[in-house]
Amino acid sequence: MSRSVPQTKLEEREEEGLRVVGTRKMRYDAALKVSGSATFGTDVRLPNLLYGKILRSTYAHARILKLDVSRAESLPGVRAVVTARDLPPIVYGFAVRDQTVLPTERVIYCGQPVCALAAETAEIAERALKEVQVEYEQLPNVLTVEEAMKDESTPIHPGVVPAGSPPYASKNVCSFSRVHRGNPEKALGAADHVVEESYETQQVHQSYLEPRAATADVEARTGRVRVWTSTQSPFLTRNSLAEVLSVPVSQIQIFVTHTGGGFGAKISSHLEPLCAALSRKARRPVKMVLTREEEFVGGTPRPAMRFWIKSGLKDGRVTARRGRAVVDAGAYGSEAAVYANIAALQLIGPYDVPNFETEGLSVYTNKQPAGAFRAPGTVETAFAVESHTDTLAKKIGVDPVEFRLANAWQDGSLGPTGQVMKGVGLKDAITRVTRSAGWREFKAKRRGRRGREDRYARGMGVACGLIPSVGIHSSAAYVKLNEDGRVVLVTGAEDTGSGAVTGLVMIAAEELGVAPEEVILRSGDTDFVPWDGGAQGSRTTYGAGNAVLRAARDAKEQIVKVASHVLKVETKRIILRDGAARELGTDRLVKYPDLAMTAQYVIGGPILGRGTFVQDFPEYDKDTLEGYAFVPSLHDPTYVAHVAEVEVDMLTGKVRVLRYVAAQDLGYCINPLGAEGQIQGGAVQGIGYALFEEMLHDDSGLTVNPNLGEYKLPTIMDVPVVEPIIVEGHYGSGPYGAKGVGEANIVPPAPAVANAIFDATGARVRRLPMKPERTLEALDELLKPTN
Amino acid sequence: MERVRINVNEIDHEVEVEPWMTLNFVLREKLALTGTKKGCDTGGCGACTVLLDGRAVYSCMTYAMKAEGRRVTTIEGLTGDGNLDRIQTAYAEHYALQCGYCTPGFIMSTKALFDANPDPLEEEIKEALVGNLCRCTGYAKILEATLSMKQKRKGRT
Repeated sequence: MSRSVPQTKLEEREEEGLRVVGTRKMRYDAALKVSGSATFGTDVRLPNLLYGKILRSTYAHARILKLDVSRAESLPGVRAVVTARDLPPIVYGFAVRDQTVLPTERVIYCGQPVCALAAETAEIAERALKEVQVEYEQLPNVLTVEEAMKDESTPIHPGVVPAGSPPYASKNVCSFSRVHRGNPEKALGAADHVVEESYETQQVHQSYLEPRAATADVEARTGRVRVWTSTQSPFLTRNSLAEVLSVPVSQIQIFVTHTGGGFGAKISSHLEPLCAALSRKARRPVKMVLTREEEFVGGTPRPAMRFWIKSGLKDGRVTARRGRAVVDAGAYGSEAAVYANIAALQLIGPYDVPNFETEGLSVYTNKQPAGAFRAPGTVETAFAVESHTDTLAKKIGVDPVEFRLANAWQDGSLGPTGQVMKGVGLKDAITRVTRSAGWREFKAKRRGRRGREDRYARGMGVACGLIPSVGIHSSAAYVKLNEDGRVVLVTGAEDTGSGAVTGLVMIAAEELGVAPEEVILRSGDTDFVPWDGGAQGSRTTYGAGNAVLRAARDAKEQIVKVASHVLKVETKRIILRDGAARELGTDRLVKYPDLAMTAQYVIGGPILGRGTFVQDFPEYDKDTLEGYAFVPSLHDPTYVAHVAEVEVDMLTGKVRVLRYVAAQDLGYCINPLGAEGQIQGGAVQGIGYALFEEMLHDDSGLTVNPNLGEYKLPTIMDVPVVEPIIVEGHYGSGPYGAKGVGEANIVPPAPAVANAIFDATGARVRRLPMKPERTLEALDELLKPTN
Repeated sequence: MERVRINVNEIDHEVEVEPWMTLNFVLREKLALTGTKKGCDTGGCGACTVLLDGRAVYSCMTYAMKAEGRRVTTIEGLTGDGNLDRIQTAYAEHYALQCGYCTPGFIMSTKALFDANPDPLEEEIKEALVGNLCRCTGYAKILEATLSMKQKRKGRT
């Protein structure tokens, strides 16, 4: 059965009078979490539990000559050791097939799992790791993309087929994506000004507070695999686990615990395959929790990227662009290919650029494999594009805000692959954020007063961004009415902290005329909940939200029918409000408990609504795309504009963010309190990326700062209170006109801060993070005589 | 192994500990009080914060033996009567949490501060919470929640 529910129009909503959505609601899980009773992946306890640990490679690139686990196996208390031989020989990867759970011949990054074992206690397991004998023959390692692309460099994955048929001969290029429109060469030739720049971003870790954790219990008789895990996507975890274990998906049941943050890293399986393999072999449940150090050395961070960007200007407009992004993929190519694909799309930013050619490639190195991290491919690209946009404005002496407004997308603009953009709230966001930050007043007050003699310089910078409300992967929901009048919402969606699931509860409550407290949420068990693509790509409010809306409206229809039968009035004269179906304009009503009982015992069958959501990519021009295209066009983007005010210490190069204002076009906001939290949290993650965070490697490929002391995250002292602005009215096709929320807010901080530093000092920092020595270098650059 | 007596949330416990065992390990693994989290094991994140004789400490950096004969308060100790206390209520109402993993640690640091100083300045709040990392909220709503608990007294803002 397929049902199509048209999007609710604003007018219709106002007529109906929305009571729940649009109000400031606490999280549905707030009480559980503040009382310490929410069970996270790290908190899972089962009887008879063993503890698993991973032996990791100490070389960035080496041949395994010998792997002898016999001494470890015979240690008292050790119950299972798993090597590549205990797993089916599956090579996987959604874009590039280059990955195995455990290596057979070579290790290709420092920190790569070599084998795993389970013991009665974590301490015995740790001790047993030391008893595993591995002999390596060290191979030449490749740690930078420059090295990796040289003709003489060592191929990291010989024989693997790259994604998108790269036209480059280099042995380590693992993906290629290109987007082009118009005639950039001709337009560059005709330009009044041509500006060319390079930018560089760093490798950073998602640094969720809860380390990855999984507990697996494989039933010996049936081989049935049960896994308790803190995952963003139970179904993708189940499916990837089924693939590497070579078992049918129905043999696997995933139970989702509360998830202590994921930010992209907890989408697919990671610990689960090793955990299940250990449990299968030991015939007992096995729990694995990564240490913080393992999170860094063996994680899947945001990859470092390099950018080259060249633009032509004519009459104050960007008329031409060429650009290239190179992703330092690390050991595996699939996630990096997505970064490169998105970078190619985002290299024109949210601006009308009629002629351009942009490409993204990813290149293997012997480092941690790239993994998803909030707004992958966009955060990095925005640093290059939005810094460059300020350089362009400066070139022609136009205020950066005016320049952006002159070039920004609006309804009817063409997206990178030629789709027609609609519901574009970018200009509104720019106008609101700059007004609120006092942009004009700040610039007026400071005009002509850039004191080189002052120790502290202040500046204000703006930056924009966009993220599609990704519609890929389907969502579904069930809604049922209990005999006490309460509503059960069953969803496959997960909430890693974003608050999106609280929004789902609000939507069900709204549609069925009950208080959100009357909605019981059930999720997190793949045997019982309907399929959902998981918490990724700003999709929960948008995709799962539409599914819940449809399920609730399906239930509503059924409720109205029963009420019509009971009240003996036409269905169109019935409304749902305050836990009852009511006849319009009269006092006659049937309360939900009576209605549910009537449905069940008189008419037969429960009130059970179901709804699904799936959406194809918006129509685009296929001739504009070449190579790998995980994302070919943009579903209903949410637009952001941020303003940062900074103070630069001219003596030490230290940058302090004094004020930060962040506007986001959300179409329609389901829960302003939750959306503000996302905007503030995303902005602060972005400030960490801008100023502090960086994973560092030594020449051997070892991560040298694998702890939260040396990998610097922003603390409460490092950041101002981010001032959020929610922009509504430019509707998307999410519930009530909503768009995605969770990712776009991390996009502008790095360029906004860089542009503020530029405004304060005239110095352009081109490399992240903008730590004091880099700011000083940029300041020194200013003082160099130009020739 | 050695037997130590620790009072946790006003209940006396006798536990067998080895010298390397941290207070965090004893609370989570021996007493099954998993409300206290472990985020890093090196004193870098604050998710494991508990009160030791009323003062906020990192339980992952405190040896269990050091808690011998002392009073430990964990997040579970705040809901002794089944109701949320005022700090927990303030965090919930102000949306001062998202994933919630850092939340017990933040609440315990907040409690240590307010028990000692019911009317802290904003700077004092920040100093008390600087040892707790939150990756989700950007701290704005945490600061809002804690500021809302200040006793309204004249002359101080």
